[in-house]
Amino acid sequence: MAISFTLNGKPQSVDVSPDMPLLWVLRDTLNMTGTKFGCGMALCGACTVHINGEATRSCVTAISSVAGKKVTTIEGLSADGSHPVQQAWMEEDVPQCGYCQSGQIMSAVALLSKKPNPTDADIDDAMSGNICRCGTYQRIRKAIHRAASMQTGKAKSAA
Amino acid sequence: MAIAAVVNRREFLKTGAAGGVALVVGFRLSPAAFADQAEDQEKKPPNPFDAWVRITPDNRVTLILSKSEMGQGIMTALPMILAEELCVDWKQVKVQQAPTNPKIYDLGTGGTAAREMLVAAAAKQWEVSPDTCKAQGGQVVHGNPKRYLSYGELVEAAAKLPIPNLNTVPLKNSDDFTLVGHDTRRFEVRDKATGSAKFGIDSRVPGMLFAVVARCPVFGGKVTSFDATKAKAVAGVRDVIQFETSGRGASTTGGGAVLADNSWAAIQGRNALEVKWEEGPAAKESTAELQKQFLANAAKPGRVLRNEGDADSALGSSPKKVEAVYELPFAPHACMEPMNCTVLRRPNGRKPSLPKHPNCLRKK
Repeated sequence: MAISFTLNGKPQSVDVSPDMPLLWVLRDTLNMTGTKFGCGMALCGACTVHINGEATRSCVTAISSVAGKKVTTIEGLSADGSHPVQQAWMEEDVPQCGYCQSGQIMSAVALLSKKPNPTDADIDDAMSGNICRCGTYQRIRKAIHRAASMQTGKAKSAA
Repeated sequence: MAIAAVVNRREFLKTGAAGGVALVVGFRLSPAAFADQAEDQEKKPPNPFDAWVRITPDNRVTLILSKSEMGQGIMTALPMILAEELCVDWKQVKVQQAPTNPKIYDLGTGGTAAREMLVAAAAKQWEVSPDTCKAQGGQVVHGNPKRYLSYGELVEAAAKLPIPNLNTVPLKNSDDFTLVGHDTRRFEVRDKATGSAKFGIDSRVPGMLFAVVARCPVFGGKVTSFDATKAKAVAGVRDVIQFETSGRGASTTGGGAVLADNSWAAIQGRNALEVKWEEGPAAKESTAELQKQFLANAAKPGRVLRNEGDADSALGSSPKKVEAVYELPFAPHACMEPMNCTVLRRPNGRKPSLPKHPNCLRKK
């Protein structure tokens, strides 16, 4: 039975087993490999996407529970890497191996949508579910601060 | 560059790096053709004009990188060395992943030879001595008033010149470096920030199946019973294959693979697979036990690989002695990307090909 949802702003329908996790629908059914598989048990954060704006571990989210909802993946943040968080990530040279970074970025974007100017403690708290085996945590924190000032700067000049 | 203190730079370029030597004309880089092409080329000596550096008439420079970027920065560092020796503007440079054949793509040495050939081509055109020409910023410069020929204009003629001796071609003076030792943005950061970077596990080939492998959790264990009935009943599972270990140095002794239409079905199939293992003597292994073994082994005389000077007498006559024991636990590396490999099965019993870039596998 087809399951419909909104994926990166566009209607999407898939005909898969209802218990298949969203992660595998993205990676294997839709060939969108930006979202990563790390542990399959919601322990590492590599598979983080947004469901109705909330950072969610797609590896333990059955596709049936996504019906009618809005899903955003790393591919949906911007068409050209121009999202402030992606820009900040490039400017701070954050990634090392890069495997966890899609998940890190999705968690960071969700954090900034709730807290436009997070403190170090806010960042550590919000990002603690995203593991980086290369240990890029310090640069991640710097990039989130940078993205915050980019976004609030933009908001000020728009006002 | 710290390594310069211990390793001659030419040796480093030759042995340690995947640098480049040539100007490419008509290099075929279709990913699907990689495996076959590499196999064909293995039979004859590598033509340097088929690899490493591609310069097109519009002055774009593409460096063909044979090493895998795994976070160590090699996708940026090696091209920096190459671009430095080649004397091109960093903004002209693009990097492309090489096919898997180390015999062709590991030839080593920087862009030095390519630079010399470009200079020689310019000198020939101007009818002057190459010594009076200089390479800089992707062009060759000569005389006063200065005249210029871009690499793009020279590439066709340069590609036909003899390849200089890689052991004697003059390396750039490190005082003249404009790239090496200077802060440079990593090539692949944009792809990693947009999710478009392709990791091994992101390989997609039309019609491919996804497999999950079941292996004994203990090194040296073996299968005692194997029942795939329930695994085969999982929706999306295409087949279950039991296999024995083959090959030298294998650390596990067989198991099974569940092949399915997607990863989820393969995981479900693996969970439904009923395998019993005989874990073997290593099941009783522990860190403490390993430590004892290592200590016992360390006390035995080892195999001598290199023997220089007289260590025993030097140590005996030293006024100060320092002794230390260093121990590391046996620990899994646990990188976040699960171990994976994409295998292309080929007809007529030919060896399967590995379309990504595990040079280490091909070498075996």
